[in-house]
Amino acid sequence: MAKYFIERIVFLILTLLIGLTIIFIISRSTPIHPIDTIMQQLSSYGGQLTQQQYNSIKDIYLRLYGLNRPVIDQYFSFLAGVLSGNFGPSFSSFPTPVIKLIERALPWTIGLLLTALIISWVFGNLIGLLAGFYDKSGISKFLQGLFVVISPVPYPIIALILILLFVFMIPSFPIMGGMALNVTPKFSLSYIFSIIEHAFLPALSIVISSMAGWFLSMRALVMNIKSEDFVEFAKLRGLKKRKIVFNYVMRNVISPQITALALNIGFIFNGALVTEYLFSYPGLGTLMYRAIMTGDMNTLVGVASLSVIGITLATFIVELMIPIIDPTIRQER
Amino acid sequence: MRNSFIDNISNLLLVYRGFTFGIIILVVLLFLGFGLSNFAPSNDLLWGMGNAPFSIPPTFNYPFGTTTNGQNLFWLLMIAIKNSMLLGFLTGAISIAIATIMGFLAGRFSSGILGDLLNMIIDSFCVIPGLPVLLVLAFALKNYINVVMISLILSIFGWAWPSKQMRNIVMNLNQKQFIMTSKFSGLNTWKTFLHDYLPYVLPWLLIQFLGLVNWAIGMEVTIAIFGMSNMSVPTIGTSIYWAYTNQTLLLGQWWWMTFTLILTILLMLSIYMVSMSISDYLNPRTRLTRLQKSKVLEET
Repeated sequence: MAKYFIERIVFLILTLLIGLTIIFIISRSTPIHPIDTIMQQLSSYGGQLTQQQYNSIKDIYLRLYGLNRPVIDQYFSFLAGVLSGNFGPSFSSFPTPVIKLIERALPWTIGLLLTALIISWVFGNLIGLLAGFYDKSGISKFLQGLFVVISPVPYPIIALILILLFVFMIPSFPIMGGMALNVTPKFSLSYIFSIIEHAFLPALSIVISSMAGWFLSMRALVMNIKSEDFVEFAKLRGLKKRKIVFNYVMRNVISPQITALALNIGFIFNGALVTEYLFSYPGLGTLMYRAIMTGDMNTLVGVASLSVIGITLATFIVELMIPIIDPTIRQER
Repeated sequence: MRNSFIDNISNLLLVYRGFTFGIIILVVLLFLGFGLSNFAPSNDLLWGMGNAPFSIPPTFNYPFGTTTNGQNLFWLLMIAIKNSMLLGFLTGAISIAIATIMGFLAGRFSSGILGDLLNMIIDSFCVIPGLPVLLVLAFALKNYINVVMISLILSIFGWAWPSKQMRNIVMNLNQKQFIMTSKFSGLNTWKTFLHDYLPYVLPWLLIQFLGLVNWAIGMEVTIAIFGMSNMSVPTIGTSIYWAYTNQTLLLGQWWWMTFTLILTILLMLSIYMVSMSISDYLNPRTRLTRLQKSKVLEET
């Protein structure tokens, strides 16, 4: 048990280090120097700058973003900054700090991602469990066929299909923003309804795509487990079907599914980012798109670093749940 | 004696409807993408101005309609499929090469500290959310982006999942007698890899390769939607990007988005079906039912 925790913590630190180091290397090795982009924008606003003025402005920017120091120095201050939530000011909406922009977008992403994640995992596994146990039934085979068709289709394609169907062909859902413009954010029925109405399609598209994976893997796992002797024995003992499914079969297949959840949060997060942008949902995905369009490297790096930290921590938390459910890890390690 | 390769293929075709469906669609799309697209008029090779009338719905001359820039969507989509497939194949090849080596080393030396370290690195790459990092990278290399560059960028994260599974397979093989024999007769690591491990994992690498092709095509769509692909070259991703940014849906020009989506789904579904059937075919658990099934088919 203690060994398991230590392993997980070492893994957490290693993952954070690898992820953040990749981001740092990328952001510092770009052939387009971010300060040059700013300077270009500055000179395009008009106004003549002498070479001396140009150099002094550039110098100020370099010092402001700490780009004049040695790379190793920059690396450690980057790590320190990231861990304390300080990503520096945004390039395009200067001098707003990047963390302020993220703070505005983050609740939307977390809300959308968490809702979609929980719904798809719980229902995907539950339906997969039943479909695997009654694998000879027509519904089970139909669902299998349906989810086989859905599962290779990536998130943006599902989102676009939903947009095509429910926004343009049968207009039934709004596509702009996280809530209606005329609703004030206070705790009222119309506010909550507006939020749900706007989140429904984005959440649905994430749920559909990720549910397929859970369903297919769960069904396959259950079909393997259910031919084992202990299940046969439980049947012979005359136990209720419900008891066999939930106490015998589910207990054996749930732990690999939790491990899979831990490894898949990142993928689902990727899907959420692009879905948010397609639905103009005011989360991190839309923030990233805007940062790309305005050439705001600092915001991009900020969102990417925060995503790495957030997803790694989420994975860590899910992994800590495994010993609670899986007694083999509790005892062996 | 019958050829075992032909035997396997005919067996797959007989027993798996999914395989038959997938391979037919895939061959048609390969023909359209790599054969027919060579006859495309040169002004339809890039996104931009074309000679066709602007935004007309599908007709006999323009089977998929035309774009808002007056290009024949049919030819553009053929080239888009070709480019997306090339990108997928390239990403798949690079990622599989890395995955094979990393997975093998991590599995072979799984009892030592090297194996543990490699395993943790592989797991880290699985956990790190790829998209934001890839977007930063694509943004940094904005001026140099082309199909090859996108494949290289995608491979940074593509190798991790196959490596993880490769490691598990190698660890299972480690216990086998013939591997032990080679190990104790002093064959070096490279030779055991070539002669003992590789033949076992080859069919499985094919499945992983097909999975990676699908993943890469989907990932390209994703980063293109964020405007981070090479926007003048037709791929599935840029087709969706331009259809989305030109507000074609709002203007009621449904054909652009619809045909792109349909072709994308057909492409990905066919690749997935083929890989699923092969993986099912290789799975010893399903072998018995399959043998019974093919026997029935041969008798009738």
